[in-house]
Amino acid sequence: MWLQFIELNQFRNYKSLKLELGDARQIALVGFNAQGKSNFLESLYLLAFASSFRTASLTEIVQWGSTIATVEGNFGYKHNVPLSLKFGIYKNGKRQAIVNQEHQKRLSNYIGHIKLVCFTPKDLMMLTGQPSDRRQFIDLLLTQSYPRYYSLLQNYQRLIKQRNALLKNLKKRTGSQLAQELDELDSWDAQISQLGAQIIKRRQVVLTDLSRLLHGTHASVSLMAEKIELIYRSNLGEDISQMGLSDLEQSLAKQLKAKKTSDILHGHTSVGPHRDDLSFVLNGHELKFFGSQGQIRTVALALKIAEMKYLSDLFNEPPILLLDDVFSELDIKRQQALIEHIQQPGIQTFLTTTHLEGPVQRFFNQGSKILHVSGGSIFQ
Amino acid sequence: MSYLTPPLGRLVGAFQKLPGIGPKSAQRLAFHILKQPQSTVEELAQALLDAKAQIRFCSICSNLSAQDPCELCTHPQRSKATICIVADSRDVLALEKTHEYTGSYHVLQGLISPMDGIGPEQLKIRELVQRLREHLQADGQIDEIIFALSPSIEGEATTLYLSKLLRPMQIRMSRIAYGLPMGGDLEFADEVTLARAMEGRQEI
Repeated sequence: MWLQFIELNQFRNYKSLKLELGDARQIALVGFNAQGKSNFLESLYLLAFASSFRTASLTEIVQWGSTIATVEGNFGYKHNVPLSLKFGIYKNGKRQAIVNQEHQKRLSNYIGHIKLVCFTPKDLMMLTGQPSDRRQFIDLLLTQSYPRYYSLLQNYQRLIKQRNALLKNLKKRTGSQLAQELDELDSWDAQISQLGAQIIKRRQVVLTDLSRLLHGTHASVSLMAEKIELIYRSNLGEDISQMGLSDLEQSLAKQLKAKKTSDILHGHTSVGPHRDDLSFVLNGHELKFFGSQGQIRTVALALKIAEMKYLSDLFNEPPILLLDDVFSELDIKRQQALIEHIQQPGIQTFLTTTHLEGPVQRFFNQGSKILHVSGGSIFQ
Repeated sequence: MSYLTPPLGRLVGAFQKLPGIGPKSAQRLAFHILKQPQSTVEELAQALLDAKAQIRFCSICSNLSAQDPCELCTHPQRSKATICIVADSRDVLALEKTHEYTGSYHVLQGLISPMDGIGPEQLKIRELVQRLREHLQADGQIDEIIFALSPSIEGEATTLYLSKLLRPMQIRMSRIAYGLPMGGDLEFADEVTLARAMEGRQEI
């Protein structure tokens, strides 16, 4: 799929922007720092996921003195009817989500229309950062792959919040009231096991596919005979790789029960997919602990390419690619490897950079667009 | 905000405390009241006071009613052997509009939600257990308990909690189906509803 037209209003430093892209596939946004290059990519990301890769508080996107920031885009498909999306953030935090002129009450019906792979310097840190960063990565990929996953995840997170609130109450209770609330805990645990098992299963299936793709893309980027594996680390304490949905559900229920006493003591739920992690194993060693900077960069790059391939295969159409200032983080050899992968026909790439040079410059040929970004305006 | 003479300011403030009423609507309502004849305003004030003074929870089903037991619990044609459990009095109104259900109700007055400080204690659950016990002890029969709670995680937790609590009484329990709205088009149903409907499919 590709973006044909985009309009921004009161969005960060863009007061009003209308940009016609037609069928352009390679789009470079060139300009000095703090001119609005990343803001532009952020607007596309927001349009796709109703969230930002830079901030958790979306209201800061709204231009000072305005009531609403909006981004609107028209998309073309190879195998589907065209799509138009609009997303707005009000200063008071309310959101507006529109698909083909129809307002969507639930975000779960909005997110997932656009398939997008975003690569920023932050993604290089994802591999060695917090487990929550890696969960976010896999959850975002699943949200794009399965329409139901987003609401599944939302419900699960709400269940955990409810359970944690109850755990905090339980700590203060004694006698008959304790017995009653322990019964109440069971009714939350039953739902958590059910939804939790579905989340684990989905993540596991996606990771198996992704791991297989990563194997190939890593070989092409690293040019060395290294073996990379991507493994789902569940905290259920047993080997879950061969488990079906009902086994997972039982196992999670068992663990919730086993950890009940300590969970009550600590006031939070210590087992379930909200505490799981992914691990990258290079030549049998955990990358997080033993990987060199170069190895980590190579895996991060190979992972993004694998993510792109995964979405391409699943929907039989390549996703849109956002590259936020990543070429400066890669050496010439890796820059070339990345370009080889994104040069395939059909992939629309948005790339920000302070100046075009080296392999990147050669990537931009006829049919590509070089846009100059300066002070919240874009010039062709 | 512009100056409002004290009694008017108080009225606007009172309206603003109502659900769904913002500052502008509150002002509009307040000015509307001032334009009304004395009798209309008195009628409204009296209606508010009467409703508050006279409406209580029914001692049987915990629905809101001015008479105790309520109109539905004393209705001769309503079956006492089937009890439909709902979260809110408004749900009773919705179900009554169907004219399909002829049993009685039990209104929980909420759903379990620890985040909001609502546990079984805060709901009309003790009343339900008491009601069932008394009914069974008086050699009455209970054919079925129907759970008609919303398909949210809180509705589900409440259903699970109650079904476990009532299981020893060996009463038939059921829940209403989840699925597609009638008259709706399949292609316009959202994914979550459609997936739920798929899960709850029935043999034909």
